[in-house]
Amino acid sequence: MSRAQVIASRLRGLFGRDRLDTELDQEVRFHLETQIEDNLAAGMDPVEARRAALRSFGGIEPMKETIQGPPGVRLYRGDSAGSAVRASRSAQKPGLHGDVGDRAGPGDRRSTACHVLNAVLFPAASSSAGLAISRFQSRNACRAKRP
Amino acid sequence: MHGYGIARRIGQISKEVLQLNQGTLYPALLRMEQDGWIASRWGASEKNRKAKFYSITGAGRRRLVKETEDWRRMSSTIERFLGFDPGEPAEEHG
Repeated sequence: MSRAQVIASRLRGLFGRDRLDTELDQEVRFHLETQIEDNLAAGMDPVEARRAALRSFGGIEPMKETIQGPPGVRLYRGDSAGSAVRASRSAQKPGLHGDVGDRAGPGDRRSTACHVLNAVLFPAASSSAGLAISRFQSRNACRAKRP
Repeated sequence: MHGYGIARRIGQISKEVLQLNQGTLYPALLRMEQDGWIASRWGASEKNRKAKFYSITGAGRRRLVKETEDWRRMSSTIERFLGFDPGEPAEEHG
């Protein structure tokens, strides 16, 4: 695979990942809003309706972490069908993902910058040695950008 | 059916015995979609909100049949252990 193809593949994975994040946010929002409405219809006051909805959902960040893996460098899978999904333990088509932690949302520019930098600077990351080096570099590079 | 509807159905069918931590549903749905057992599409909910709807695929139905068989075999095995009377002579096979 040429360098250009590798970069293109990583960019596809990057945008697929952001789409997954956006879709997940939309799903969670829909779920909570519908639950709150049902709670209100059942006679709860607005504060309790919201609290009960969040309680029954059981924590949004742990759920996202289950899907995305822990903050830090992750491996994710990007394919041309657009179902780019991170698989932290999967080595299928590995790509690097630097994250600045849970404060950075999917649209966060610092986070996006790290993804792009990873894709461009570490195209040979699929080899284990390259992966280890890139992992170290990307983690530190991204974390250094925290305010 | 959308994720919220699935969570509600689980509660209803189990007569609220299974208190699902609803946030755990979405990683499970994602994994099943990755495995090709379910498919999803965006549509409008009953209240005309944008929602993601899930449906079972052919591969999912086949998997469901297999999982159901496995579950029945396992639960009947456990049932035999729970109903086992140590005083009774063991059934002879073969």
